[in-house]
Amino acid sequence: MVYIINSEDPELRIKYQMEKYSYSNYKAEELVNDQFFLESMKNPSRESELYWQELVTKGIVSKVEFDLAKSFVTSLKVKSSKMSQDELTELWVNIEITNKKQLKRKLKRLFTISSAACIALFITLSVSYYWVENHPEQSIASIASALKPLKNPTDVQLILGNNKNIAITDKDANIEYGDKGDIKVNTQTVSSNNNQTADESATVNDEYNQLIVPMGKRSTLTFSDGTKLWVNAGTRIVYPVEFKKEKREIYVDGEIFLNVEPDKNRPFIVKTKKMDIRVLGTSFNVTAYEDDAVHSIVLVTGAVNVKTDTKKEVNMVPNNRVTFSGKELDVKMVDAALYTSWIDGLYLYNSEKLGTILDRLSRYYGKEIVYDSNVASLKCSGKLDLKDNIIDVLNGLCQTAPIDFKHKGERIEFCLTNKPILPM
Amino acid sequence: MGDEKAYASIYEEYAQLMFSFGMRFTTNRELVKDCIHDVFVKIYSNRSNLNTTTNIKFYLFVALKNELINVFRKNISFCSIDSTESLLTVDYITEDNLIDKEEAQERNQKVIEILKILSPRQKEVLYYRYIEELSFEEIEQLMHINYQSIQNLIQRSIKKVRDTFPDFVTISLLPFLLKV
Repeated sequence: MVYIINSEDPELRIKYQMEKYSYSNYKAEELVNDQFFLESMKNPSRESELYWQELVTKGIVSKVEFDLAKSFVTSLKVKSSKMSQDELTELWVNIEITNKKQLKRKLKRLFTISSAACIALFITLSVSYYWVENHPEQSIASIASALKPLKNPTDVQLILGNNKNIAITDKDANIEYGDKGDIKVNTQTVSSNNNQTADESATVNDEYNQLIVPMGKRSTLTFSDGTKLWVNAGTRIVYPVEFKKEKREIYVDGEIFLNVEPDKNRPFIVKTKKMDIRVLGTSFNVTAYEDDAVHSIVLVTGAVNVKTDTKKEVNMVPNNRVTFSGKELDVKMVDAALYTSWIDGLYLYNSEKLGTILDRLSRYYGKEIVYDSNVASLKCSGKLDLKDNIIDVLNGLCQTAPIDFKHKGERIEFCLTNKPILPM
Repeated sequence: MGDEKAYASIYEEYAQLMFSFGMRFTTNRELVKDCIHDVFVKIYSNRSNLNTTTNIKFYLFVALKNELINVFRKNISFCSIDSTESLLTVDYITEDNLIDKEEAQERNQKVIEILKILSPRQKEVLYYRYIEELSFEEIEQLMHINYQSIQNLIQRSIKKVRDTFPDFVTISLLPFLLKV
């Protein structure tokens, strides 16, 4: 309730009331509609009581009217229905569950718009040994889905467990976790959260950090154990603030290249929407955009056993590429280098559908690219330098295929042309 | 992420009040809880578009009332609405901490009798104004009536009390006189 004037000085306030409102011959009807009267009755103070008493004794306000108004205002009380503590808690839990579901739906919509079906999951392995595990206990995957952000950010976002959000505006973000829990971004220390465990309000969510690299950005991430990640555009990674004693586990929605520090006692587990990948110490590349229909794995060296969420299983040898669309596993021999070249800023492709190439470029540069099925089905081979700006890269493409593009607002539109094609 | 804490604290502070308020429109506890659920979910999904509001309680009340009315419209069996009448029922009880118990008893009785003669619409206004202590502008929005109508409803309530119970004041106000 707003007081008419500052109540710090009650005498002044009452004087003001006297001057402004004479209340002379007020009827009960008028009194009950008066804000000051209402406040005086609901939350009486010594001063307001004296004030009204004086008005009544002096006969400025009739006692009968005053009493009628007063009893009218003060005698009204309502029986209230209440929720039990259990009901209150249950309702709150339900609200939170619905909110999380809605966040998920929203993000899905955003992703479907920006990404057509294209390459999905490929994993390249250069050393040692890994296997895939099927959905164990309370998974990092469910935590990752709960932590999905509402909107795609435009800058690289490092979201720390203690509700701290660091936006990195630099073009390249290099993030490093020290072994004492301190975090460096582009060699500057941004957080030293050794008081993490002492925080009483810590929840499950506080035990996980999240790195979001939007379309058109890239980042590297080094964990306290020395494991280094190269993170490609449009990728989200969820990982614990501190790895557990028995395993090192992260969740990936997108594409990363990992150089895992060997540790026989603590396998490194990369979880994706459809698969779990376990390593003891190796370098490998994971591409697992949650919203892509087809997922694939490419192995560079070593040996791999892949298990999917549909319990399909395959043993891979180097240069194998496994694709998985949710039903069947398909294995082919490929040049693994084609699938890891992005780390060096190159995009190599051999007889690749143009639709797939344009989708990758769209994601890498964070630009929307549209094309029709005639353009999409053209096949191209070659090399693109991703350090060039997008226009240069697209112009390069146009020289090798019978296509052309134009800007439509923020979008780039491709179409077929009849111009002669230069040999690549 | 700081929003999350504010959001949770709004629930903590107002959920119970909203429930009491909602229960004035229906006796169906689950329905009221469902509507509170929907109000909070909508706030969450629109949080970036929310205007800053000076009176959160009022905002939540309006949202809950709209939510309930939508359900009533969709499923008429939930309650028997006479659309011209107020949906709200207020059972007034009187203070129990009065000095003189006998006087209080008598006064209680009187108040209850008086309230019986008021229309539901009048009761609704009195409830908002004198119990929830909402401002006239807020009541205007909640009841979709203008300032003058609110004033009229209140004044007519008092007039009704005065006409029906000419001796109301002398009987009922002894406790107050003793207090002062």
